[in-house]
Amino acid sequence: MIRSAQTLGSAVLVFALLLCSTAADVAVAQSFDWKKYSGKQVRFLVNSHDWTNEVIRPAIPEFEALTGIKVAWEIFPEDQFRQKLAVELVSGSGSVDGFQSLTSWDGLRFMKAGWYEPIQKYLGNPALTSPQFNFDDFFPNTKQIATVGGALIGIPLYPEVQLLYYRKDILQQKGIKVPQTMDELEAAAKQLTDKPNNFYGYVSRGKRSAAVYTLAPFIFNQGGHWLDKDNQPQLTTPAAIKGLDMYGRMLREYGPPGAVNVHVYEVYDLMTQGRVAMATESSNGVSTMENPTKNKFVGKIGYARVPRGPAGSHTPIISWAISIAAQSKNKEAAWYFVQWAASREMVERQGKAKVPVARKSVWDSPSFQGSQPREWLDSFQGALADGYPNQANPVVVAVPETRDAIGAAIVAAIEGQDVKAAAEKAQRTVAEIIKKTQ
Amino acid sequence: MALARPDVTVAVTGQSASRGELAARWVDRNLPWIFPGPAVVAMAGLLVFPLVYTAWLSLHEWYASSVLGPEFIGLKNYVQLLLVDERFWPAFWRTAAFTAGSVVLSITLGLGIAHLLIRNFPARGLARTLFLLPMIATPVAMALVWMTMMSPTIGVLNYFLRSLGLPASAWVASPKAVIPSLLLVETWMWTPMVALILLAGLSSLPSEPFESALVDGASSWQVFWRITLPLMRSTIIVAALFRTIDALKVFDIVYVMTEGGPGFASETLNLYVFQTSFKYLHLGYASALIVVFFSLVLGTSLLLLRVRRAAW
Repeated sequence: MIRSAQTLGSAVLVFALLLCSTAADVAVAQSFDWKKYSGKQVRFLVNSHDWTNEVIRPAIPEFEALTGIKVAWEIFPEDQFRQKLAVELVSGSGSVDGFQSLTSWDGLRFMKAGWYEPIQKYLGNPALTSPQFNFDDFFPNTKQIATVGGALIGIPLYPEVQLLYYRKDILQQKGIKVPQTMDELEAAAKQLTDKPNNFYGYVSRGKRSAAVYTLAPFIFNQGGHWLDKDNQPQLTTPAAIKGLDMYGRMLREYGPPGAVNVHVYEVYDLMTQGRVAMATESSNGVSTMENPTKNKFVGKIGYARVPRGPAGSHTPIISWAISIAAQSKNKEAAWYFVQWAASREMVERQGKAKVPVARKSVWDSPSFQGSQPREWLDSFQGALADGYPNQANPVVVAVPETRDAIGAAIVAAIEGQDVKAAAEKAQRTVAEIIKKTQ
Repeated sequence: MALARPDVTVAVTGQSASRGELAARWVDRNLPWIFPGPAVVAMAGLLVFPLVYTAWLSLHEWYASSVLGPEFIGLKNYVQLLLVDERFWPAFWRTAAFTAGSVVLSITLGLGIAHLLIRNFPARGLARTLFLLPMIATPVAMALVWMTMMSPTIGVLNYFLRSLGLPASAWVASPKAVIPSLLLVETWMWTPMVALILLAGLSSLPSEPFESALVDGASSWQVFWRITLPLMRSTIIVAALFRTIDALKVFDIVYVMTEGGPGFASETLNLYVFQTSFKYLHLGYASALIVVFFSLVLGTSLLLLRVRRAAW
């Protein structure tokens, strides 16, 4: 009797101890108070994208139920979004609590204007950040992208690199293998161009400001860079001139007429309508290429890394981030939204919507790996490893003006004008701009 | 006023006017100022304040920052604009050429259309409506349609050119052809308005000079050149005034079709001001540009008005 009581007693004791420790674990997990800022209202100004439209917008009621914070999620197309955001932030009225930011474009300007709220202090505060957030889950390159002037100013959302898109069937038909080097790219483009039949070997952006992004790998692969360590432009180095010259030549000789008006949408259109054999463009194109309603040649598009030059294959890596406005009157509530939108659960949904993700755990998950073409995943990861973070354009304060100046040189190159003179003019203009604004 | 109104209070009660009556009399005396008062205040707020603020801001340098406010630099922006800026003068001349082309084309075509539509023919009402359609449609939507038509690869305009044996054009993708292409769209869109104004003018002309000219045996060209045109001078200048102001400020079709491209080949003044303000966020410099641009439009309008009043 005593022995069975003892056994029973120790069993109960062990059971009680187990219960306590589990309860302690549960208590720790529950100790993050999602409802701390219940009743607050936050307003986010964001850019029209699958992520803002298809992933976050439908899920906002869930956030509101979880936290009691009301969210105004205002979506605009990119150009209008930038103008509206700038005007509202200049007014300093605190009407915006959070916004999306493309740090390669906005980074230095917003930092200098005092518009970003550094978020490291929120991340490091266990009272404000859920223990499940795990910022280490994000790719290191993306974390670097979201860091401006040494301060982390947002959570990276969807990284983007450049890839070579090509028509698998046409290359196969002509017996051309996927170009691995820039010279092979040019040779293939030459062979594939059939002007009398309105078919062209290669296309990329030619529109003034937009083309700077797709020119970048042409310069980087020759060993060039946008700026040197003293923040001076490097547009007249042999590498830059070689890259600019080749880019202009490719579009002039093997590109469609009207190449100087081509932006990303026209590149996708030309591919999906079967007017071009190859294109170098943003990795985001995969969602259009794999969409049977948008692409007549779905399944026939291949993805590869941008061909390498003497200095290898390097494309810019950019990523939109979600940031908090320094002038916001509800910074903690805005932070709650930011961490929810970038939480593992929401990023998983992002992956399911076929938007590239910045979290390694979601990227490696079978569901994401299974949702995109294998070639795209492999090329993307390779480009991500070798890419130059934020180098879509020189990382300066006055990005739009700088892009316009470089874009003018690109248009001159495409038109067949003197490349060296155009590069020198751009170099002068950009140096002037940097001097005046930094 | 006071005489017309019977001064009842004083007559009946014999007491001096109370506060209420004093107020009423004050209102009555100052009616010409009180009625337009709210409108004047609104105008001052919406028109005068922005102008003055812009002029003030044009004397400062401000890169749209919440940390650094506007910094006073005097007339440096104007010096930069007029002497150093590599994009201002090309934009200025381009805009001037565009405006001249647009005005000449639309007045010439408008006069022709007005002469056609003033005749009496069956379905004249329908013809007039059809001619007016380009003006009624939304400029941005129409510009996008024109862009599709002008596409070098899949556009219908090049299809027509090729089938006629003519060389295809790059239209807005060519630095040389971009301004004529934009002129084409602008003229197509706004000639109906000019035609409407000229038609109204034409219809109001007296018929006696024409009848006597016919009796005197004048040819139709002589009638047009020596009778119609001089009589229409006022109307033509009004139409030219409207067109000039709008053409100087052309923005929507350029922004939608080329955004100033290729390179800067189609950048008009208004577009340059817009880029500087909302893309580059150089608010100080943009304000100087606006002041110069505003003076240009105002000056041209005043000039045209004086021409209208002056003896031929």
